[in-house]
Amino acid sequence: MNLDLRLDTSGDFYARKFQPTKREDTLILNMGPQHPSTHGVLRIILEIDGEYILRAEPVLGYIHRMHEKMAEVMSYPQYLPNPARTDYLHGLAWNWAHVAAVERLMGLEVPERAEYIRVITCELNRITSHLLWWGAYLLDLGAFTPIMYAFDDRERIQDILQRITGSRLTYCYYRFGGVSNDIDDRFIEETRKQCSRMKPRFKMFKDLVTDNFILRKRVEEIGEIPADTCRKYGATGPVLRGSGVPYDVRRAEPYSVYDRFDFNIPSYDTCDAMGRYLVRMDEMQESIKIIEQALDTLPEGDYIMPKAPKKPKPPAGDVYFALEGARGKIGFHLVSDGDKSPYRLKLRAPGFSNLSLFSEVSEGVLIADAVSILGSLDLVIP
Amino acid sequence: MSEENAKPEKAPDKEKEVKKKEEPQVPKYTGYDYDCFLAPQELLKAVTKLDHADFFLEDVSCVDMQEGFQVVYHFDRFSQPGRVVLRVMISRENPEIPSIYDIFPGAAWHERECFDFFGVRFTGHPNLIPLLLDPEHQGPPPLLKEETALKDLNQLYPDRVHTPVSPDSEEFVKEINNCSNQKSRNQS
Amino acid sequence: MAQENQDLIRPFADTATDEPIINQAPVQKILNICRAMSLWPMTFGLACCAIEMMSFGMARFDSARFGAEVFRPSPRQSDLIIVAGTISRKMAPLVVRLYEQTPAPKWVIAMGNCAISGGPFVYKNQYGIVEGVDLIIPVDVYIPGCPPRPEGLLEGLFQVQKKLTGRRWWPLPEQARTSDK
Ligand code: SF4
Repeated sequence: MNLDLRLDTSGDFYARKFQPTKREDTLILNMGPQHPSTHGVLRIILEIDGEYILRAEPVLGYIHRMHEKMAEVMSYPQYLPNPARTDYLHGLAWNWAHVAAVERLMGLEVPERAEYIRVITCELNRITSHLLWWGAYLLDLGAFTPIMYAFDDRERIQDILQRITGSRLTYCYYRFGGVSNDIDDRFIEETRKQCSRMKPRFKMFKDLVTDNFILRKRVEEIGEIPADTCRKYGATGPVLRGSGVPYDVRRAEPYSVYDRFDFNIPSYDTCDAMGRYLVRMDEMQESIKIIEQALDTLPEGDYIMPKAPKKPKPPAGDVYFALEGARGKIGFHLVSDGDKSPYRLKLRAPGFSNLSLFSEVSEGVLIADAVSILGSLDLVIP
Repeated sequence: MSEENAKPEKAPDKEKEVKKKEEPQVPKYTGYDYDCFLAPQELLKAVTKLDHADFFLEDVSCVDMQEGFQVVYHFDRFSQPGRVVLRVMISRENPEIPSIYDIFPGAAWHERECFDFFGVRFTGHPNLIPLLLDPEHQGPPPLLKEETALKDLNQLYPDRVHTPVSPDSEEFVKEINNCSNQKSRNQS
Repeated sequence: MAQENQDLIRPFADTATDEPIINQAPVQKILNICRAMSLWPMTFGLACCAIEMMSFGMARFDSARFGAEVFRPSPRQSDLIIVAGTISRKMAPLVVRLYEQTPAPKWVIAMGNCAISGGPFVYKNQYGIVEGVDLIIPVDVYIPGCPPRPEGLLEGLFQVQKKLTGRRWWPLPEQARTSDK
C-alpha cells in the first residue's frame, strides 16, 4: 500500500476518477480536506468556471472510524461509549438510539423517571449542538463575534451536563433500562436557571445577528432545496423543515415520552439557507419549552429499572429505531442472533443523507455561496 | 465481574431466571410497519411504487448470512409516517442487484457504502467507487463475516415468512398505501 | 487481511529543515521567547477532539491569554499543529503533507487518545485508522483524554512553551502545586 502521495502530480484516486467535462476552459479545484468551512474533514472536488461551480463531488471517508465493524466485534456494553463519538455534537442522541434499539429488541420497559431524564439531557445537548452550529456557521460567513456568545451559553450547559454525566462532549450516560445516575435538585435548579437565562439571549441573538443585513444577503435565496429533492435524497432534520415539511421523528414516530409534551415543529417554506437557519434558532426555543415542561412534571421513581441487564443478550431478530437528532433522523438497524454482540448494526447518520444532495444543490452557484450552503446543512461527517 | 466470581453458585441461576422471562418477550413494536421479501428482479418495480406513494429512502443496508447477502431497504413517509422495509436476497457468489439510483438519487451513497463494506455490486450505478474506504484498501471487504460466524435466515429471523411478495400483488399495494406506524403501535 | 496492512511501514514525514540564518544562541533564545508567546495554531480538527479545541480558543478558556490566539486554517501561516482527532488511513498522507507544508520551526501537539495511539478505535484486525500520529509525523507534546479538557490543552500549550524556552511561564494551579511536591 502506497500512502505516499507527495510525488503524485496527477492527483489521487478520486481526482483521476473525476473526469473533466468536454469544456476546456474549466478548472478542477480541491476544497478540503483541510479547509475551515468543511467542518471536519470533508473534501469536495469542484469543477469551476470562474467563480461558478459547474460540478461538485464530495469525497468523504477521511473520518471513517469503523463504527459498524466495531459493533460486531464488541459486546453491547463495550460498545456503549462509541455511538456518542459518531456524532460528537449530539452524542446523547446516539447514545440513546443505541440503548433504545436494544431495549426495543428485548422488550424492556424503561422507568418513567429515566425517560424524563433522558428527554431533559438530550434536549440540553441539542441546544449545545445548535449553538455550536450557529457560531461555526457565522464564522464561516465571516462573523467572528457570535461564536463567543454561543460558547458562553454552551459552556454553561456543558457544566450542567458534566455534573450529571461525567463528560463534556462524548457522553455515555444512558444505560440499558435507564440512565447511569439520578439527577438531583441542584441539576434541576441550574437547568431552570439556565433556561430562563437563555430566553432573553435568543432575542439578543436575533437582534444581533439574524436581522443583520449582511447575514441576510449571504443566506437568503441561497441554496434552495425543494421539498421533493429532500425526499429523493432522504434529507431530514432542519434541512427538511427548512424546506417546509414539518416532519420530526419526535412527532411522527413518537418515542420515549415525547408525546406528552406540547411543542411546535418550526418549519419555513422558503427552502433556502435562511429557512434552515431559522428552523434551528426556533428549535432551541422549543427545546427549552420541552425541558421546562419535563422538569415541571418530572415523576418520582427509579432512574434505572431494578433488574436492568448489565450484559444484555437480546433475542434473535431485528429492529429499527429512529430518533430525532440535532441534524436529522438517526436510525439504528440492529440485527441480533441472540449473542452478546450484535450480528449487524447499521447506523443511519443524518449528515450522510443531507450531504448527498450537495452536488445537486451546488450546481451553478458561486463558491462563496457553496460555503454558505455547506454550513447550513450542518455537517458532522460520519 | 468480581461480584459474579465471588458467588459462582448463584450467578448462573439468576441468568437462567432472566432468560426464561425474556424468551417469550417478543418486541412489542419492531419499528417496522410493513416488512416484505422481494425477488431481486422485482426490486425496481417495488421501489417505483414506493416512490409514487411518496416514500423517502432512509437507508440501504446489507446483512451477510449463510444464504447470501440480504440487502435491506428502509423507507419512510413524511405525510403518513410508517416504515416499509424491503428485503432482497442475493447470492454470495455473484452479488449483483439493480441499483435504485434512477428512482432515488439519494441511494447512490448508501449503495456505494454497501459496495465498500460487502462488495455488493449495484448494476447501473453511475459511480461505484469506494466512498468511505481507503481506495487502496487491501483484502476482502471489511464487514464480511467469516464462514464459521455466518448464521442462516431462521436463526436470525425466527418465525417469519421468507416467501417473496410480488410488487404487483394487491396486498403489496394495499399495504404500502395504508402503512402507518399509528396502527401497528396500537395493536401491540 | 487487515493485519498485513499493519506491518507495512508508513512513510514518515520529511523532517529536514534549513539552518537558521543567525545561528547564535543568544539570538535564538530571544527569538524562541518571542515564538513561544505568539504561537499560531493550525485549525486541524479531525474529529470530536476538534470541538474541544474550539472551546480552547473561545470564551471562557480563551487561549489568547497565553499567546496562542490566531487560529490559521492554512499550514503555511502557522507554526503549531494541534492534531485533534482520529487519523484514518485515508487522511494519513494528507497529515504528512500538511506537516511538510508548515514552515519550520514548528511544533506538534497530539491531542486526544486517537492521536496518541488510536484511542478507542483500536482492535484486532482494524482496517481504517493509523494507530497514533507519531507513526507518521514527529510529536512534541501528548495530551491524553477522550477528549482532553480544554484545560488539558492549555497545559499542553504551556509544555510547548516550556520546551521552547526552558521554563514555565504561568503559575501552576494551586492544587497541582501541592500534589507536585
Ligand atoms: S480521542 Fe476521543 S474525543 Fe478525541 S477524537 Fe478520539 S474518540 Fe474523539
